[in-house]
Amino acid sequence: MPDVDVAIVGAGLAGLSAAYKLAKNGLNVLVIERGPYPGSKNVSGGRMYLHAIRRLIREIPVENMPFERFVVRECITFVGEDSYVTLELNQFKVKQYTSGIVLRARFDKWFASLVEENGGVIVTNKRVDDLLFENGKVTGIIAEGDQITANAVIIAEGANSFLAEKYNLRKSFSPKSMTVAAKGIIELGEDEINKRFNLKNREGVAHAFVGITKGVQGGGFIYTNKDVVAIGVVCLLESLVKNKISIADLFEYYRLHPAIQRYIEGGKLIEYSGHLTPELGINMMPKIVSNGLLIAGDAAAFFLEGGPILRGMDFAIESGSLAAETLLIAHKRKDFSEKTLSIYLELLNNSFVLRDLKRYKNAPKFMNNPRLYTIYPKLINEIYKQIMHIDGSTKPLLGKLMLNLMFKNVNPIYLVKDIIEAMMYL
Amino acid sequence: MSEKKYLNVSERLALTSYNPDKESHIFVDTEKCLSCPTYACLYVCPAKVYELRDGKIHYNYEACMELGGCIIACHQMGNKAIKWRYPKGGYGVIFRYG
Ligand SMILES: Cc1cc2nc3c(=O)[nH]c(=O)nc-3n(C[C@H](O)[C@H](O)[C@H](O)COP(=O)(O)OP(=O)(O)OC[C@H]3O[C@@H](n4cnc5c(N)ncnc54)[C@H](O)[C@@H]3O)c2cc1C
Ligand code: SF4
Repeated sequence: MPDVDVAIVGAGLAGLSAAYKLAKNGLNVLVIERGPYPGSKNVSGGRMYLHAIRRLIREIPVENMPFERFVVRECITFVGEDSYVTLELNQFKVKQYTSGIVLRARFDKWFASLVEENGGVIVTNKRVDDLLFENGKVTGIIAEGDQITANAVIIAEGANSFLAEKYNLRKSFSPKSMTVAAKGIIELGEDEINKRFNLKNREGVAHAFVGITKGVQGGGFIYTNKDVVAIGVVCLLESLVKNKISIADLFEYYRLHPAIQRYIEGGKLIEYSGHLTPELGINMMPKIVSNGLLIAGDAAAFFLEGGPILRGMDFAIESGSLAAETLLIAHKRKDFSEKTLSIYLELLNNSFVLRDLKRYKNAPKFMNNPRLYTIYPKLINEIYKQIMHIDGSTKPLLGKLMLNLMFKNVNPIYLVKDIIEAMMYL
Repeated sequence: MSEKKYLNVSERLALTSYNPDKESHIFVDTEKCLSCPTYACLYVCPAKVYELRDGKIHYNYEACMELGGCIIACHQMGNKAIKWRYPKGGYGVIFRYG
């Protein structure tokens, strides 16, 4: 008899979602987490799209989960040389929130205690170093010398997925496939946040920034939490190196930029953090099913970046939950072979996880275009400036003004190419 | 730490919690760095663990936030000098907000 039914590496959202469902269905689950508490190593922006967690945890309304705030306003700011233009989406007849803002150190800790209430066991302060094998099947894990045997293992170790690499389940990462984020928490206080962002109760803002990364492929974000504001920049590794710009310096440039200071001025920086994201998503997916083994969440590269949208948390929750569903079937059949566990792939294919990831498969191709981070944000500013600037001289008609400015700033061939690519890839 | 003052990385990292291990989880063969074509590690680390001083790479593992970006950058764009693993369980960076 193995020590447990299922051993899970990592108490992030993917690992905890799997553990929750398995424990709720009566299986013996053990989650091993290297941090001192779940969430202590985890970073997101972040805004979680709520559909997946609503389906997984039906007995608790999202309003009773530790979301800091719920997004009621979406903003995107295009930063030019000496100005910026912001586009704002406010919906005033929304019946149900679609996304909530989280601080992972708080959220994951809460989620872990829910797993424990349902009978799951979580061991912290332990790093998993190896998988155990018997006759070509994964039969457990080794964590700093301790062996734990299991019918099946779920790798939910996050973006770096060192275990998957160690066992040749994925190729080496390329600097084109990963982005790095530097993030800061700014203390402002609940009332001040409500005042500055024009919010009340648990209303929140998700705000993306383009053109503020000194030409590096990437962007910035602001999310309002209950009493602190999260700010950060996310950039492609390769682009930082090629532009010889340090992400650490860029963070401070961003924090002190007038477009950001406008919201956080006077606020104290109280935490500085960093993390990677698997930028290429499905294009870098490892082998996620083997005998006795499933991979979920960021470790499976279930991540999507399409323009101002950044998604990994809903994928982590759903993939963890589907991994659990697969193992519940395998448990009934007493068969944990790759063939039976391939049900996981079927479930993923029929869910939004692989549907959305396939749908946006080419988004990284579109994003890999320096003009998006330089010329276009500037252009938007120039057009708007020209429209609004009145000095008594007669302006050309709007169409002519726009065409003039566009052709002055971008080679028309690139412009056409970029428009076609946007339509094809996004 | 507040307002509009530029905070260097060590000032920022002083705000982040750590439980540093006595042993380093990062090993750099700094001889290899001498002929590195890119010094990629300098640009991708938010904690500036790697520093170029007097023509040599120095590294301070205690500042590491455990992202893993330096390995990818060094191995694919640098001279494959970095060996890196997660610190032992319970050690290293501890995010209070995340
Ligand atoms: C700056 C930033 C902004 C983001 N913004 C958003 C956003 O707005 N919306 C969104 O949906 N997504 C966002 N994401 C992505 C999102 O954070 C991830 O997709 C999500 O956290 C993935 O969850 P996970 O459970 O797969 O991995 P993780 O949350 O990384 O969890 C992995 C866990 O495994 C543990 N672990 C790793 N290795 C071992 C080991 N060997 N032994 C034991 N434990 C181990 C880690 O400590 C960690 O707890 C953002 C990411 C970043 C970096
Ligand atoms: S990228 Fe690697 S080889 Fe180059 S300087 Fe940095 S550690 Fe040395």
